[in-house]
Amino acid sequence: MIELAGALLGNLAQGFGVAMTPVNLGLCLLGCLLGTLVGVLPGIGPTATVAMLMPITFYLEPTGALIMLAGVFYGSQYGGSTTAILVNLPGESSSVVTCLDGHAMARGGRAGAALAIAALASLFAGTVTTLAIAVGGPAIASVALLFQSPDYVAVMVLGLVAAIVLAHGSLVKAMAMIVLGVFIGLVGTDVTTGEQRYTFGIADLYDGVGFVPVAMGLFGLSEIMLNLESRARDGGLARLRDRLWPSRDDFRSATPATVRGTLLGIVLGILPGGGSTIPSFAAYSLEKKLARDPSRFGQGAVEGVAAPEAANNAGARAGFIPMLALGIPPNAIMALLVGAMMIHGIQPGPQIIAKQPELFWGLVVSMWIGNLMLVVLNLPLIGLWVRLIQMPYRYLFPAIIVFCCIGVYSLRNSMMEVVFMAVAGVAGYVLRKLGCEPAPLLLGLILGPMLEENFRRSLSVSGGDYMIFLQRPISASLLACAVLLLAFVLLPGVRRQRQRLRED
Amino acid sequence: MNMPDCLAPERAPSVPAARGALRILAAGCLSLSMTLSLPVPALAQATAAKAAAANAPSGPAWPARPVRLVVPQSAGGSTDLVARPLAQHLSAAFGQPVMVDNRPGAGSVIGTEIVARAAPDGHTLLAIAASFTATPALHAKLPFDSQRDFAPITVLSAFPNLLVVHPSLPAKSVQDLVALARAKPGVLNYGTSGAATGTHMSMELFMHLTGTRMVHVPYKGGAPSVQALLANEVQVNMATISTALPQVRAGRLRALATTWTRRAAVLPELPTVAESGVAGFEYSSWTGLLAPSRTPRPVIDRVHAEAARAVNSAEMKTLLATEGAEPVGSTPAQFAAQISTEIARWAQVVKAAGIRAD
Repeated sequence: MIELAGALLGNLAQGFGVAMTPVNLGLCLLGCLLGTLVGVLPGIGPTATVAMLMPITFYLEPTGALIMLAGVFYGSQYGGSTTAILVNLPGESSSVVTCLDGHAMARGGRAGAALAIAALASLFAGTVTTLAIAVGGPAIASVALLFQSPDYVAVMVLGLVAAIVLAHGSLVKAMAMIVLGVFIGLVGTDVTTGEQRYTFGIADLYDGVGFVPVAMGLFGLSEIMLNLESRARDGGLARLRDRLWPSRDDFRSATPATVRGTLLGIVLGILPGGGSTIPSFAAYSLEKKLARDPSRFGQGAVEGVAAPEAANNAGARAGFIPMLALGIPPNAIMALLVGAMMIHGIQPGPQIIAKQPELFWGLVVSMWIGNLMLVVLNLPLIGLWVRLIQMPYRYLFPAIIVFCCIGVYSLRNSMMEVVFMAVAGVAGYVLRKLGCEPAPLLLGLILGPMLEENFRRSLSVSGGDYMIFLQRPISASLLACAVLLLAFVLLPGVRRQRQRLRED
Repeated sequence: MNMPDCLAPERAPSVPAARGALRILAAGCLSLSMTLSLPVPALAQATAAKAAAANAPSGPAWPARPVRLVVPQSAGGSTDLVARPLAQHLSAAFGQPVMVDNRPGAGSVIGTEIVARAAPDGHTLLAIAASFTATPALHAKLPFDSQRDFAPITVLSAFPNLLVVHPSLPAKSVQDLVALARAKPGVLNYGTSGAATGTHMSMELFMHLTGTRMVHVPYKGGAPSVQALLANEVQVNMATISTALPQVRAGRLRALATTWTRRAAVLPELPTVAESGVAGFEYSSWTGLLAPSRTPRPVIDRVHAEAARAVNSAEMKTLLATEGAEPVGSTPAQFAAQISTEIARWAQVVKAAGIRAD
């Protein structure tokens, strides 16, 4: 035990030695800064930001390059949360959940508190995850290898059931939105056979309907339409109430939520395809389920900001574990980082920790430093952001729309994406008028295609035997959880519904 | 985005370190504007042109403006990894910026179509992967003609795939695997990076030539398919060498053969599939450079000469070697012949195996 701790300290010391050199510290700061600046543009999420800024790092030595790219990644992720809270624009899939309560807080005049809670929850999650990577990186990575297709199916089913919890209105409407999301997810090339489904010969639909344009349309654009319709156009989005900083009560409710969010984030983040989206949805659902008064969620609950922000940060960093320890990138952004490593002549793979310890430990330590820098960078900026949304809406909304268009266009350099966003905006307006919430739809859109892909793959592997889902211990126990949760969710719902009928 | 500011050369401090940082920033602004497809500020072009003025030829007025190198894959993809350093070399050689324009989507169809319709004046080029020759056999309704609409320039790099199996499989050689697959038809699963991709086509060719039958399990990309092999969800994969090699070296996967006609430089002891008794089997992945058809001949020749020199430079050779790839730089005529041979071969395999993508 003591030996282990000694080795860990030695490794961390080596990491600090690499990460704390003035050059690497500067690169980390530069990365965080650039990442925040670009990431704050709505629609330009971490993947797009890293892709854009990657060529800069070609001039650097490999460790510095990776440290800077990692900084860009954290910065842009943080920037995504900022727009979600301020103007209800999720810059990336994992900040969708942050919109729900974060923007509600901002509208209630507590944008400063929401931004601070998001930053501090992220810092906590980043610190814990970095330690987890340092202690058990390779061991944790091998957990990902235990998961096969049937187990992923069970994870997705559990996720979809949990999505029902996300809704705070009608249960039926929430389910309808999930199903609609799954249907939209069917568009595109079938993974198993390569057939085109519902693409109508439009090449831009071959890869499916992009998540980002749909999310930005459903949340951001429809929000603008509702704002224009309902409020005096000269006022700002929200008046600032009391102070910028969160209150002691805020901290009291945010702390346990942050811890739970972090743990969920680490576990779900190592799984391929998981990234930071599923953890943030899962953490939100968990908090809502645990809350004494779930009706506060969606109205600006502090836990609804802290838990998903912690989870998406922990998830994003946990994604480094399979990338560094197995050489297998679990999501698009890690794939980009692998690409960057190869450009620098580093072959990512199981041997990287042994062969290039300075790179591995330097990166691990710089993850944490980057996180700290972000908080230091962003806390003073909160005042500025808050003032920004107090500016007259007639100036603010055209700027938001322009940035949305630039962001969405830059995803694939394609005009069609902008059209998709516009369509989603109108659809979002109609849905919200009908009292249907967009969040379950988006989760359906993310999980639906993954569920289908893994379901069909499970059956190809098993030769068409459905028992494969019950024979594997992981999938069997997760499915049992899903059934329990469904019963848990449906029964009170049914009871409440009946009660309402009686009252009428 | 304050591009003009950070690109202004006269503001460069005289301290060398600061100039390095400035160059980094400038490159960032340049790449940002490329990715966003915004016009690159004239200043940046002037700087780039000045840097390369020494190499500028006194011949015809080409390139008259920045050259766009379309990559129909996302940034960081395998073609992109070759295209970006190539673009740097070409920028220096041509005295005009060569900008990488990522247009991913629809299995490279979207970006390829853009180039098929571009003006054939040498200011639009296309970097493609080997799937280019398989696409016509798989898609009945392509928005372009893979042979008629393009002028081949050169093959940039080539790399073999590795036939790898999970270490628990009792197959130490290609012959063992064939025997195992024959004994239990339809029991072994093989993973691919997707239906109708290179890894799928090469396995179909393998089964066609050996008369075996294994179950196709497609994944979304090479990395997840290798992960599934590590997890023993599938037992066989003909993965690209860059994805499989680190796992083979770490002893987590067993390599049985390379798919090339000759042994790979990085694994000289490993036999080829053909050497192992599957006569006529050959598959290689490659990246190549195309222009729209009717691009002037002198331009094609000039691009070919510079691209061939670039891929054979020490710098790019090292880069390619980390991916297990080797530089090629073949002539436009050789590349054209290779394209038509491969298109014919894939048409045959696709017909025999009954695969289609639309």
